[in-house]
Amino acid sequence: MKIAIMAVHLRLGMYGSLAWAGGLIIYAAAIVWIYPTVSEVEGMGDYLEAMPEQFRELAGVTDLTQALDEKGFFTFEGFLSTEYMSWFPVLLGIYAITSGAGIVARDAERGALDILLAQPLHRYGLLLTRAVTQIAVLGMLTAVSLVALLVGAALLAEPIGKVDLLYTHAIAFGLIVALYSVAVFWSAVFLRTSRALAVAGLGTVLAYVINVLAPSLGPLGWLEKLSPFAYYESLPLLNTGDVDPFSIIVYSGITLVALAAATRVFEHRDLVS
Amino acid sequence: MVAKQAAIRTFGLTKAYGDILALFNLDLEVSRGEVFGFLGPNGSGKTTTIRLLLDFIRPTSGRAEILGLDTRKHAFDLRRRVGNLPGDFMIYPQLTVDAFFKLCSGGRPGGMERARTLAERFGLDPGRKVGTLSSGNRQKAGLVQSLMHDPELVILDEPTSGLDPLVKEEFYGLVDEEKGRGKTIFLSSHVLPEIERICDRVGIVREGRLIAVEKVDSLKRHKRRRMAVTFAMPVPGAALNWGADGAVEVLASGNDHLELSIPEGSVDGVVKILAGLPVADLVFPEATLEEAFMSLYEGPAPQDPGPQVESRGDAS
Repeated sequence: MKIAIMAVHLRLGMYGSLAWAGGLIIYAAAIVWIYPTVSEVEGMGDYLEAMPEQFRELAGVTDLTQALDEKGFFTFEGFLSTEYMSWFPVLLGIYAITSGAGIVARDAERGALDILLAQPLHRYGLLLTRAVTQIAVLGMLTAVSLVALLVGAALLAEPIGKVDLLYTHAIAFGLIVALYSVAVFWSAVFLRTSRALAVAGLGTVLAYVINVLAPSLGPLGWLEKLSPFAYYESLPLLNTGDVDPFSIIVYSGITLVALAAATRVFEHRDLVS
Repeated sequence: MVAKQAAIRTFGLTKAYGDILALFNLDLEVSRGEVFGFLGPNGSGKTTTIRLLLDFIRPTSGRAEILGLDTRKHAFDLRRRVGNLPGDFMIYPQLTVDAFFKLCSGGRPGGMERARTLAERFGLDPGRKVGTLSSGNRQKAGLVQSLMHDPELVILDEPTSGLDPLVKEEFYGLVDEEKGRGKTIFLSSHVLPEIERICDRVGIVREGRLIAVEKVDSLKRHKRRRMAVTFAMPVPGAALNWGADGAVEVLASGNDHLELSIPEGSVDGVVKILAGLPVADLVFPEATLEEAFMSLYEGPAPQDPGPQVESRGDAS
């Protein structure tokens, strides 16, 4: 039964997943393609310096000094970090939240839940089977991004730390899965896709804004640590490949708690949307 | 003894949504091998009852057993043994009918073979996508899905909704066959001739309360019946003495015609009176379930907070 649910989930989401994979490949190819041109432009340092701090944060430049030195913005890694890897979890996060918000709510709305749960299947089995399948899809999309960048770098003959890029993608994937799991929780709470999407989306935007603005809020700077985005910094990861174990703990913790809460809510609630 | 044989038993089953009482204190027993019709208009509590039995929603109080197992504690096991057709269901429109059956076949052996046989019987094209099916054909797919695992109990919510008369007949035949094989069928409907055609007993629910559980024939007998008499020559009213107890009501009368409302047990007396009169024509149609149903729905809604079961027939 679970395999049948997985197969149907993959089949129904196939075109969406392929479209996202194609989009990521195009985006990665475009960024890799323009790097040689951009890297030769003079005055980019002044441009970066002139940007408001929040805008630099938004582009993934958290440390201006580091961004301007030789291991910073003007390296291939620095450019990739600013123009691609800092946006990658945001982009794929949108897809993750959209799919997570509908994981059980969409079936409840269309009346399919009554058919699915009339079969020998636990409620938690349905939810977790779907969630794991979609996490696998998100993993595949992350792998597509990794391969696209590696192929692009090879074609440009730009040296890049393959392991560093792998680790950066892995931590980004952790963040994406955490965002997805929270959306799954809201889907189980509301059983309405639009409401789950609104709450999960708003929460994610809020977390992103806190991550960007909190460092400039002085005594309230600690708020940054409340945002899951704070535990993903692409530039240091791409430069050194040093993974902060705390990031893994945070993202694993959010994912496990959110999915456990989602199954508990879904298991005990009335199936009425 | 009876408890062991019951396919469905509910004990004070109640469901409230805030201040709204969707179902109140339902005590119901459906025997194994029985075709039981659950009657009531929209919003009366039929679907709430079915969703409670299937553990889709949880009772505010009370509990239910299916095939001797608690519906909440043994929901997973029961899904192997119970078929279900939800009312107005939908499944992924991109799937073919055959893929839909495959999705529903997991964990239960032999399902696909039976699904294909039933689909052929209902004239359902297994290669068609669910999204392109008419509502009637979608209902057929749902029916096949509910029966494909050869379940001991089948719970059907408005099973013939959208079906054409020929397919309805096919469905009725299938119900008869399943009953012959000892299966229990619990169906909700507001199509009274259908209930009359296939059910052994009916439960009538009104505003969340069960107001009657009886055999179909027994329920019909409780209904007052109309009799229309035409006389061969004028008959003066004085000649007609229906008795002082007022049991027989004169609905319309003239010199050459008469229309009566006759309660159960008074037919014999009426016929004896008419025997002495010049009767040219007499119309005395069989009581319909619809009349019985409507009579139960006349008058104010039940307000008594206690159980509302007025009568219970023999389940045998």
